[in-house]
Amino acid sequence: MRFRTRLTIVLLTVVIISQLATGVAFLRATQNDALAKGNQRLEVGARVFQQLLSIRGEQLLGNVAILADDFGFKSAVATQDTATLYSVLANHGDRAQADMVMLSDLSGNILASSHHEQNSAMPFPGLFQRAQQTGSGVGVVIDNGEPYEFVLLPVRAPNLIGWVGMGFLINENVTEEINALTGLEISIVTYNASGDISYLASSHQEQLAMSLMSDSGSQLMEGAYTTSNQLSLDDDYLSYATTLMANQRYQSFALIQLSRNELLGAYSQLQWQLLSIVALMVLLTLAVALWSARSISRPLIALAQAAKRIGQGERIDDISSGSTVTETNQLATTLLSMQEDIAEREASLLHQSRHDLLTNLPNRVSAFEDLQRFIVLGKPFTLLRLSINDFRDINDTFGYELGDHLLVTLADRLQRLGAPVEKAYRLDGDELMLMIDAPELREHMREEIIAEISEPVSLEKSLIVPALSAGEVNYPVHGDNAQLLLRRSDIALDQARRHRRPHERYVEGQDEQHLRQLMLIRDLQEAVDNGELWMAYQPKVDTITGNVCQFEALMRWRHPTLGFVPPDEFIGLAERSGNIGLLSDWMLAHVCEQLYHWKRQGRHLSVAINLSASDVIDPGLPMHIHELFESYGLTPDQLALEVTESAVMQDVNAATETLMALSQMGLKIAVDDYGTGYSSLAQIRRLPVDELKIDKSFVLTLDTQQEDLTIVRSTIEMGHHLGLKIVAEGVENSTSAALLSQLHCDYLQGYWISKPMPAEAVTDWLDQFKTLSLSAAVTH
Amino acid sequence: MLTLRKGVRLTHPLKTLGCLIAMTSLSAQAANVSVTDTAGTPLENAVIEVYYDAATPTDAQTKNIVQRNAAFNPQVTTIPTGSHVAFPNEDTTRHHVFSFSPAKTFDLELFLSETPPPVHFEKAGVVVLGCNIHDQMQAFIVVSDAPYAALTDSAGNLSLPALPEGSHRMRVWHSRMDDSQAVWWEGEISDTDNLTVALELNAIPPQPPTLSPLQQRFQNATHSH
Repeated sequence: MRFRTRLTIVLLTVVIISQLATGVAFLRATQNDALAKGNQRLEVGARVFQQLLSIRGEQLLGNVAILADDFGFKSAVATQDTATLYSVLANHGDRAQADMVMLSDLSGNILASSHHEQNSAMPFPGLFQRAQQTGSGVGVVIDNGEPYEFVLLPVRAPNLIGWVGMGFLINENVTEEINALTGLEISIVTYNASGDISYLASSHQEQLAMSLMSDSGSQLMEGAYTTSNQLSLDDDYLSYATTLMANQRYQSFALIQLSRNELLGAYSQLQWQLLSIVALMVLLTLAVALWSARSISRPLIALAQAAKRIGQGERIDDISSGSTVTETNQLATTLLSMQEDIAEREASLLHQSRHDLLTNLPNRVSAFEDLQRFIVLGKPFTLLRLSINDFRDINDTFGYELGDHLLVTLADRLQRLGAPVEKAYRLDGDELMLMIDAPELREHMREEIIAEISEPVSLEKSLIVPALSAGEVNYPVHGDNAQLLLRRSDIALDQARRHRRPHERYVEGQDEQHLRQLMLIRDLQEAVDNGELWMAYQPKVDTITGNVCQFEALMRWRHPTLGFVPPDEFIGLAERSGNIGLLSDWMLAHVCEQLYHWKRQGRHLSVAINLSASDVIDPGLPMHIHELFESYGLTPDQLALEVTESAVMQDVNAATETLMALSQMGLKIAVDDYGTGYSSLAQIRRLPVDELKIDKSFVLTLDTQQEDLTIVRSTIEMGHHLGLKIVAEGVENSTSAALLSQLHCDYLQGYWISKPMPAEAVTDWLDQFKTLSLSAAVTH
Repeated sequence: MLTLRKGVRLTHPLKTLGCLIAMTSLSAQAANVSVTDTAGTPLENAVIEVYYDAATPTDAQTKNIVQRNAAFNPQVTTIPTGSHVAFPNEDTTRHHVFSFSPAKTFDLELFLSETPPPVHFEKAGVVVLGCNIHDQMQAFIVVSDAPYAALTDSAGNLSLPALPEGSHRMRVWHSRMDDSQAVWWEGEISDTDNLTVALELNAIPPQPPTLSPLQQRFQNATHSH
């Protein structure tokens, strides 16, 4: 519900209720007051009426007393002469303007009467009794339905000789007089026993009076209106009744009435006035409510809109709510300060999201954005991506705290570098990057920069000279987007690190190579599953017997899109990406199965497999091989192992342990690629090694290079002295083969004998193989 | 000791319950009558008539009823039938004495200090006297045929003279017995009886003789001379 509607409703409700309550209470009070006043007036009217009757009674009493005391009258009564009595009564009655005159004897029998038979009984026994007891009787009597005010007095001469009475009909004279005195309507009404009107004198119009009285007859006779009265809605008059006289035959009432119009005329006028006041108040309230709601809601709406704009990130300098209300202005101020707070926090968040927490250098995101900005400007620049060599070792040696200190120190130095260095970033871990405002970095400049950064750093009281590798890319030469430039800088750095060089500039194609490697790494898993891998077998020949003694199993991969992938490439990638275990497992299982197949074909062959560095240190490998032997029914002489020097040297102790176990199983172990590493024979001697494979780089040129011959010869001699068999690989011609034979090399392997061949071709090849004649050796 | 005496006849029907005759047996010298109202209050000026065979008829008499201080004096007078009553006026005001009673109707205009000729009452009955000038003036003349008629004293007693032996008719009247003044108590009395007659008073008591303020002033003026 809108605020305005709500406020309007609330205010209107309050006003209407209060106005109605006040109005109703006031009108009720006024009406009650009017009714009370009306009742008072009626009571006053009734008293006036009674007073009037009383005065008339007094007058009548006086008149009758004069008559009763009149000597002539007394003598007439004493004479009992009827004619005389009649004339006397008529005469005195006329004088007193009485409507009824009568004379009775002592016991109430009528002697003479204007209205009654002679000798009839007293028609007003009640009054007569009262007169007998008190000496005079004054009261209202009903004769033949008509109410009279009647006076009955004794006639004394001087003893009591009779009763004389006179009556005044209570007629319109009375009602007119009361009406003139009090302004009230008065009706004298007599009902007979059956409830019909037998007499009526009224100040009302005759017909009105008649209908009014016939309507209220039963109520009157039940005693209504005898006390003060409420005015019911359908009543035209407020009524007050006085019983004049009641006996068994008649009931006579004086009904005093006040018309509703007269009584409530002023009241109804008041009602209308009040109603118009209420209406006016409601309109006024409505106006006030609308105005005040507007004056409150308009600023609120303005504030709400302002808040919305702030929420949408718009900056608002001033919120004009158009209100003078303190709270609203306060709210506006609060909104503005909230906007400031939000902006501050946003800036802080932005800074945090764009900067490295440790060094406070801009981070990779920031670098990316800056690159994009520079690229848009189209201005050539150079990125120099740096990493600390062996940072991991530094961390391990000195702890992370000092590693961080080193980083912070380097970051400080980077930031302090002057032009043309634009900006320094920390991309990741120990990788930092400089943005340099130059198309390419000249060597002296680069060295200058590196030298400056590489100043010794004091770490835990010892000075460390940070060795840095740097990869460089140039825009726009090496790429036209930030993503590419960053990746290529990474490749360049990687190249530098791999080759342990202080600096590498990106060379075209590296990126493609990199991408190929990524793809190979990604596809290696699928290659195993999809059977893209297969094994090739290259035979070794015993120089003494000239017979095949063993095959070396070589892994091959035919990539569905890239075609043949050199084993050196994908095995190296597998080693780097941690997938080499996968390949080793596949190879072991595959070779063992193949041996099993050959065995079933009646060929007891021996195969040498290459173990990777991770295989060599795998303590579970001997058990694994043992299980394979068990399941394929192989003997230890069927499987030989070849390990490179470098693989063993990565963790000599673990490798030694594994190799010992394997050796104890009866497996022959050869050191592959001997001569390329840094290991000494002394080291090899401690390993359970049975053979040395002289690297083919020495063998290939054996027939032409004297140095190689020397190396090979001395290696063979030393190996033999240590009890090791010597294998030469890369034997590609008969000359070399002959030479090696002469040098007493134990086994030969190479194209001269056979290229590596698929497993299916092995048996045929063996069938066609003729024992080599290496007589030279024999003859030697 | 009170006993209801047999043979008492009540002439007024309303008296059936009302009459009590108390007879006291005393040493008989003369009869004695007491008159009271029903509450036992003695009644003065009650007229008692006793009928018996008299040796000599009662002589006619002449009596005076004096108007003094706007009142008749005495208030009640008994006279034998055929007697005369004179109305001397001793007041300084005039009076107009009248009677509308059936026994004797007359009216006399009395001037100052004038005594008109006596009025002759030849018929037995109660004559009620009034004054047309002074309404409160009232007096009674009981004209009696009885050989003996007399009034009770202020204690309501009347000692009868020696009566012939035996039981005699007796009547008692009092002005307050009935408005018509025509009602008598009827009974019998022996020569030695001591009777107490209780009368029922039914007359409407006249308005007390209060003087109106005007009369009071006039009277004060008169007396001061």
